Amino acid sequence: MYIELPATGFSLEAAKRAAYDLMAQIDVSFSVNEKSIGCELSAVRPDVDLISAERDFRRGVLDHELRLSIERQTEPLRTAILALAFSNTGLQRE
Amino acid sequence: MSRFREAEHFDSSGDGPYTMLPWRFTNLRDDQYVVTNMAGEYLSLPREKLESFATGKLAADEATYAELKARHFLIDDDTNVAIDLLALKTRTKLAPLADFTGLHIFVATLRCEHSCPYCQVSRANDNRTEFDMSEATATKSLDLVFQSPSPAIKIEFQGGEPLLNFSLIKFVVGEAKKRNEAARRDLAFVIATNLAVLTDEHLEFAREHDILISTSLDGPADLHNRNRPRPGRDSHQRAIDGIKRARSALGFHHVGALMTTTAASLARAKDIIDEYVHMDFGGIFLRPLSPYGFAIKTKFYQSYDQRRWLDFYFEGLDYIIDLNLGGLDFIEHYAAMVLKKMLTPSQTSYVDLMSPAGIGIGALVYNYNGTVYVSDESRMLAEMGDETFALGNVHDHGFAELMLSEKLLEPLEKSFAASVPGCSWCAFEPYCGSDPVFHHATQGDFVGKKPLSAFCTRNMAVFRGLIERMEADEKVRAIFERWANLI
Amino acid sequence: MIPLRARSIAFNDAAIATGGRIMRLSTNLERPAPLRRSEGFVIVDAENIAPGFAWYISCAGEALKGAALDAPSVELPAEFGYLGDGDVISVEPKSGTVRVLFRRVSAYNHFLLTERCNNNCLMCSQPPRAVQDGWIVDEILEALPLIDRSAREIGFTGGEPTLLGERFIELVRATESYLPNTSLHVLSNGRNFANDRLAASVAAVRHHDLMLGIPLYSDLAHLHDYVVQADGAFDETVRGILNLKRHGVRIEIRAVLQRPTTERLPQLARFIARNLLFADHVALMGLEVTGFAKANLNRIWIDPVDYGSELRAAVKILMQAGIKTSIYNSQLCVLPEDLRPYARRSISDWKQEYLPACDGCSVRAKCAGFFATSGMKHSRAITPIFSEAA
Repeated sequence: MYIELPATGFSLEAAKRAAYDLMAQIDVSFSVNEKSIGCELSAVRPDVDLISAERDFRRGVLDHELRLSIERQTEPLRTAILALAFSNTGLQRE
Repeated sequence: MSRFREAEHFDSSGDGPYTMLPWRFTNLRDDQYVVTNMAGEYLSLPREKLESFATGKLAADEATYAELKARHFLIDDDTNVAIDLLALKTRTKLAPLADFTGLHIFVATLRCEHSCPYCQVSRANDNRTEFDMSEATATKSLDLVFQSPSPAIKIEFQGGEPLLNFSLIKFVVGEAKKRNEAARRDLAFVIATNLAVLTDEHLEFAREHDILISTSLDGPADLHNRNRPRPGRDSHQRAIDGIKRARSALGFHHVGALMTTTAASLARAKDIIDEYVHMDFGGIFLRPLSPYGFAIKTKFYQSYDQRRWLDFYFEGLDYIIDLNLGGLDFIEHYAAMVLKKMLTPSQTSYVDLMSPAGIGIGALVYNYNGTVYVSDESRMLAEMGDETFALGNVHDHGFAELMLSEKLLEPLEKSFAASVPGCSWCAFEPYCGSDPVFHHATQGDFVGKKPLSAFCTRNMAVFRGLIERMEADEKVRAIFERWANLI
Repeated sequence: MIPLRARSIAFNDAAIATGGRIMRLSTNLERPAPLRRSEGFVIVDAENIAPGFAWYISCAGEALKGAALDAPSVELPAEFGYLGDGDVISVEPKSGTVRVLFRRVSAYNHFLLTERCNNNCLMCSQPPRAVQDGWIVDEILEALPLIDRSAREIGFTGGEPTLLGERFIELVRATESYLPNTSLHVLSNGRNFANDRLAASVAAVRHHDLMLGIPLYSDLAHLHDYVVQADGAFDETVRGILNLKRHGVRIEIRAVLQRPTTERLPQLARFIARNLLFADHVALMGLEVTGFAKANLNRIWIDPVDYGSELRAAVKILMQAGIKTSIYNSQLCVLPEDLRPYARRSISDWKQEYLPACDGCSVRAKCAGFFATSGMKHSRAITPIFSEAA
């Protein structure tokens, strides 16, 4: 099954993550151009419901776009918190 | 005279945009989601609120806003001390790492008079000593034990059936205590025994040295005996008698029991729990299926097995919850360890739920012949012919050589959950572990493809199941909070 | 109430001539002469007046009249008859004032270090004053060596003690030097400890038994700031707590049970259990209705019986997390029965009382009673408990 995700609003990274999450049901191969990300979905087992998997894949891509956006925005604070966490362990000699 | 200002005056949260602190989300069920932060605090939200929050549109006067703020999912013009507190909480969760290896398992002998089908390691009990640990090996092993900086050291005797090499146990306990006069650690001993060969001499020694007993109790007699055959077919009766004798001699809290889950156990959750209730244990550890006894490589069989185990687990958990609601204090220990991570700022010492992995850092195994393994599972793997996780030998290698070898460092680094696909974006990563031994055994690499991993499927289902139950019933939440703080 | 200050007191001419001082009191007729020279003798009856003391104090007019003393002396009203051996007082003939600084037989000895404060709490029982009161520190430094070294505990309060900066550290050091067996409990809003150097300085004293009592009124910053009437106070207070803990200072977290706090009390407990697990003690405190609390009653008053379930939930969360918890200033009859074991007799004896409604109560001796300062404001549910064993 072939679906196309418009490149505006969808990223390959999100699509790859969504594909990863669903690897128990589908394999996905990608073909990318400036306009869109083409995704070829194939079932890994005969009993996989491809329609339902495609729906899960689309939802997954949306969710991962959201996650990537959150990660981008919170990355500096995550680094700061980890740095602060490790700066006071007393395990490093000054 | 002072003029007092209203609460609104001090609330600048609506004045400007809020700043999100690091957070992740995953679906709980239908429209309901779970959000988690770096310290493992969580909230359950509907999708709409989640999207609102993620896109900067959540209004400051909403109840959800206050909850997210109080639990350190956002900061705003009012306050940013959440950063200091998250750093402290992160450090608290990681702090036990610095203590390093606390659990040291001595395989006293491989000999055993049981022949349990799921056991990979035991040999016939035929009085030969070639499968017994020698005092020389024990001495070298103790050298390594006391080089671990851990303030608390637990030496656990396993086998085979360790009581068949009782003289070695006596030797190790004596030697360890002698060394501890200088080392001054919090030293504890455990003997993991099937109790079938328990004598009064064993009990007297254990009483004198404050040794804990850990035994196997797989369920009621028919199930236990089917799982654990021995000459005489009386493993269950011997276990029960042994438990009573040990409790009487050593003290009630000095005797614990663990179950092994087999295919035959999966239909008997309630019966197994009833057996533990009947024997007055304060709880049970509903253990996952172990893959090491089966040559399971196909993903389908794994997932089928896991689904059946999950049914078994939740049937057992719900039964235990009902027992608690009815007034019996009874803990499910797997849940309790997860709940400790979810509901308290503390960390668990359960090796399987640690990231960085608990291999080496949490536990070390000294085999009867001196080979050092990074965990009990990796010893079982070695019995199946795979020595990937054998670090070296106590007779040939020192502490630094073993603990800094690539055989330990590579799986630790490669499997670290916060850095690998699947886990690095998973909302449940703060509660989970990385299990390089399991993934190596079942998928052939330290990381594993998590959607194909029985470890992942199982844990995600348990996390979701616990959260759903807490969200649905305040009384269940209260029970879970008690467990989380007790263990 | 036990008065601790006497005004418009008549001092004799010798007293006015010699001027004010701080002194320890004695009732001991056999007191060694070298000590008498710097102490005050409490006249109990006119027949037994030991000579050679620096001052003479009487609470029964006849006694002094019969004494014909040349030494400095002062006559106090009968309510000061409680003064006894080992107490420490300050006499100021110029202003006609006598202040009691330390009572040896009492467990409640607190020193107010300053009336200045950087908060302005809604329920403040000691409303701040912007005054130059540095002389108080000098007075305490002079009094400390006179205090009985077997005293179990003394307290420092305010205002905000840390506004004294280095002098605050000096005071802590002095208690460690002169009272090496006495616990020191300091009340502070903690904000100035956000400056790590101050936290380090307190820790550097290495006081043998120091605890800082620091209030936290909500898990939400703006609600805490509202209660203490200072923007940014929550962040500073939490940072102060973290700094102190990092330097190994023992911390008690306090919360006054008033409406903005009780409405989110379980959430506050959860916040403490999750973020401040290292707290050595948590004190949940009944309201003293005096000072600002009277003016802000409509903002803060809630009848204790109406927050019983929140209080129970909070205590359970804290105790379950392994944090020692106590309930202060609360009458036993308004507490749910299962919470009574956590209640302490915490109200200072000099401002503590019971009501006529308490007559016949079998647990009166264990009950904190009431703030005499709170006047008539108390729970509607005061009633004697008959059934419990005393």
